[in-house]
Amino acid sequence: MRFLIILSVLLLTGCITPPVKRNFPDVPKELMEKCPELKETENTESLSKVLTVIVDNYSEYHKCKIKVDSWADWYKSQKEIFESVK
Amino acid sequence: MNSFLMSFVPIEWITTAIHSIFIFGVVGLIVGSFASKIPVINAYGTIIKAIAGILLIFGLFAEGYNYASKDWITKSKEYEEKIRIAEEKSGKVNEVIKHVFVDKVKVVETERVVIQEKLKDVSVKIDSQCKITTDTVDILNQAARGKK
Repeated sequence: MRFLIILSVLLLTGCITPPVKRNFPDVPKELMEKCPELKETENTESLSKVLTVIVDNYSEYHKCKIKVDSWADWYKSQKEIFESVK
Repeated sequence: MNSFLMSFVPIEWITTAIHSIFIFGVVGLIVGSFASKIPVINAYGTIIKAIAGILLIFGLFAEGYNYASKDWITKSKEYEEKIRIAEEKSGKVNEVIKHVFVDKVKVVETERVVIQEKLKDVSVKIDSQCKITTDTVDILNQAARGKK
């Protein structure tokens, strides 16, 4: 009788195991790259050389901002899609 | 259990088998009831009734189980379809986000090159009018490094 109960429980467990598998969406690999460190200026008296580095750093900031914004968009969109499946 | 069986045996076969067991149970009970009233074969009638009773109970359970399983399988397939559509949407969203990101980065990079070119044009003028000290560079680098 005990074995019968155990067997029934096993069978019922098999019945209730959901076979539908759901994969977590992948993030575009471009967004997975880390933002680089800011460049440092060499020791110089030339303002133009310093400005060159500053311009590069500003540019890196903008790229990094785009990346963070893209992550936020990605999360928002994927969450909406995920929650639409019930 | 049914879904496990269905991976080997077609669902129609299982349904037919369940219907057959149920019908055998009902018919067996009727036949057994009649047979148990006939004096010569009444012993067989009781045996038939007992077997038919077991078949009927199992058949009834299996009919219910099969009906519930079918309903569950239908819902499961609907859910799978919803997931497939969601994964398709998810893939498209990924593509759009990737393209927008790449395009925006290209714009920033182009802008950087343009500004650097402008800087090159005016560098002689800037450097002739303004000299910076080591302290300025140190402060700037300190800000660039940040606190780690």
